[in-house]
Amino acid sequence: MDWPLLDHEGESGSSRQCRSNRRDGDEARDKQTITGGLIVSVLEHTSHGGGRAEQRGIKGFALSHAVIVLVFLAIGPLASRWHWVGLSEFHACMEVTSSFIAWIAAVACLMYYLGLRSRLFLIVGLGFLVCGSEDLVHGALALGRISEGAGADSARFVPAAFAGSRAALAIAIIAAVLLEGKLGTVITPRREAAVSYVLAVLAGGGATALAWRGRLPTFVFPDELVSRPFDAVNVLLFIVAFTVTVKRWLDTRDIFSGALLICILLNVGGQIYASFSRQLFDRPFQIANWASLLSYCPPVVGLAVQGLEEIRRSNREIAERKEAERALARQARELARSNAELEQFAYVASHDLQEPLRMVSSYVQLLARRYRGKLDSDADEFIFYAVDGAQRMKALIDSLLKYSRVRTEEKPPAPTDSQELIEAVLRNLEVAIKESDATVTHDQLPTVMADAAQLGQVFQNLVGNALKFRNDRPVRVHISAERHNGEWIFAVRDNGIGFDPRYSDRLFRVFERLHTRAEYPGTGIGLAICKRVTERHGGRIWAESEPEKGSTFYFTIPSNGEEPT
Amino acid sequence: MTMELIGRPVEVLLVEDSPGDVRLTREALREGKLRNNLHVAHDGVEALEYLHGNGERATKPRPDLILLDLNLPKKDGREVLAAVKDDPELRRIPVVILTSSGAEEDIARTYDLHANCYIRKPVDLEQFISVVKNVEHFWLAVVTLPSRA
Repeated sequence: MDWPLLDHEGESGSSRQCRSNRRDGDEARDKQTITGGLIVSVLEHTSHGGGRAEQRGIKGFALSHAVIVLVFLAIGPLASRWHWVGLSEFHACMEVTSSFIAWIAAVACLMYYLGLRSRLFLIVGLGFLVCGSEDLVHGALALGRISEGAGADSARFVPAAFAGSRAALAIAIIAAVLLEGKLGTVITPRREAAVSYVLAVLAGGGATALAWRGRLPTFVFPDELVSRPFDAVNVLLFIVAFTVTVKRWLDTRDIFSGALLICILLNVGGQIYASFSRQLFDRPFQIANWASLLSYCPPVVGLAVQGLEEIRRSNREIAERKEAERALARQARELARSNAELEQFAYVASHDLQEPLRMVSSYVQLLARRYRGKLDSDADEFIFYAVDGAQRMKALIDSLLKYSRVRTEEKPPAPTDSQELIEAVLRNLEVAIKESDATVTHDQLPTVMADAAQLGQVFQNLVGNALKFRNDRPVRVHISAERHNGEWIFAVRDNGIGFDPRYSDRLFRVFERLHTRAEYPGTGIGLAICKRVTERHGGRIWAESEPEKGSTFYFTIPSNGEEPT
Repeated sequence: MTMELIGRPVEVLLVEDSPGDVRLTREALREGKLRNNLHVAHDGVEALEYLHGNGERATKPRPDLILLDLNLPKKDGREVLAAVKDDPELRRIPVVILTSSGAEEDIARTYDLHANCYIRKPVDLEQFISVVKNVEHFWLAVVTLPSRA
């Protein structure tokens, strides 16, 4: 009696083997993605992606299933050699045992359903529940406890209940796999589980009672070749169940699907034997019951192994996530450090460059002052270019210093009235506004959390640009602000020369200019500073324009719940 | 104009390590209206030796104005300033800090040490010359200083 068990053990061993192969593949893939992006690998890991089929896994799978089928073919001749195989007591033992295993499988499925909130487990669990309950009734009946005095036609009832419960299992598996993920999100898993389990018990019990009380049709036709045709129908049902489950297994390669496949295969074998049972407790009948008992084991073992795998995987994921967090923190520290170094570098470089530059520019100016017109015209020209170059370099270094000061002289954001700020800026620009005969207007502007000096610089640069890049029309500049999605969007609109929208990103780069210095003076740092300031405040800056029509510069400052003034 | 200066050149002590700046200051002072003698110390130690005499005091005139750079070899400008302002003999000499540093802490610290004024060296030559001329004019012609001890 222990050979089928041995065989079963061997089977699940080999299926574990093929899964462990798969796990190696997983780990190799994980290592690859670790170098690419730890976060991505963690995310990938949590979802069973489809299309993970591996030829190795399929080979082991096919082999193990072939073994099951072969063993079944051998059971018949072997079973006929032991006399106790034909005893009804043996049948009763099997039924009681199998009912407990089926209930364990049902409970395990229920746990998985509650944990993973996948109705696959709920529905399969219901199948096992019905089977387990029926097995108990069945077994008790076989012992004669129920049949005594009840007058039931147990020769009809037993095969009917057996065929019915097998059909219930096959249909439950088919339904579970086909409906997986199609019934919407599980919101109240406990209630759903309780209701469906109670309904299943009531339905199973009701069906049993009806079968018990009512007249059952004939289930066994001893003279036919296929003496129990209902069990033959079940063979077809289990083959359908096998087909849909194989599809799922190929997609997910999960342990539970693999275990279900073994369960189904054992049932296919059992039902084939049952189809040829001519009377109660004959050998095909007993083998069929034995197969159904065995068939409950793989799901129990499978769920246990899968639970272990889940724990291992979640441990590994936690470890990976922690490692990813550490790596991120490390990266952030590195970045902050290199950023700080860069800031320091820009500041020191521009600061220290000033000294030698002062010498160069002072002495070429001194040269110009003393010797202009006293040497030849070439000398005058050379001196002119030297003076001009030194002045430009001075402007660039000053700009760089200003740019790096956005960070080195930053102050924590405080409530800043941008209305007051813009008025101060307009006073600063009074001369330029008069010179360009400009009309600058603004809406009511809000109070925002900002570094006032820096925000003022942004306004000044943007309005200054609007005044500078003008054409023949009288200049009109308008400043407005509106609140949108938790941030203030400021807009500075002008009617100046505008720019080609192709360059709208380049505008904000350091020392980027769209015009020659002869056309419009400047080093090209103003908008880079604006970008730096807005980004430091958690905002963005961009520009829209049409050449010759004017341009609008937008920037945002998070509103942080500050009320508009 | 301070009466004492009539008829004699003003004595200016420039404490500056960069020869380029020394020459520039000299050129700027040459364009000034006052007749002046420029004495140069190239580091802090040299400056204090000059001021304290160290035996040569008799031969070297007491400056009417000190132009002091901050970043100097050996003893830096802050130490020189502290020593000058700590010395009852020297503390009345106006000390003008002339430096390229714009750091807030340098400005605050030197005023704490009783510098008479703080000037950042302008990069532009014209401005530099006008600053030096203005300093000379202001401290030696406009301001009334105590008579010499």
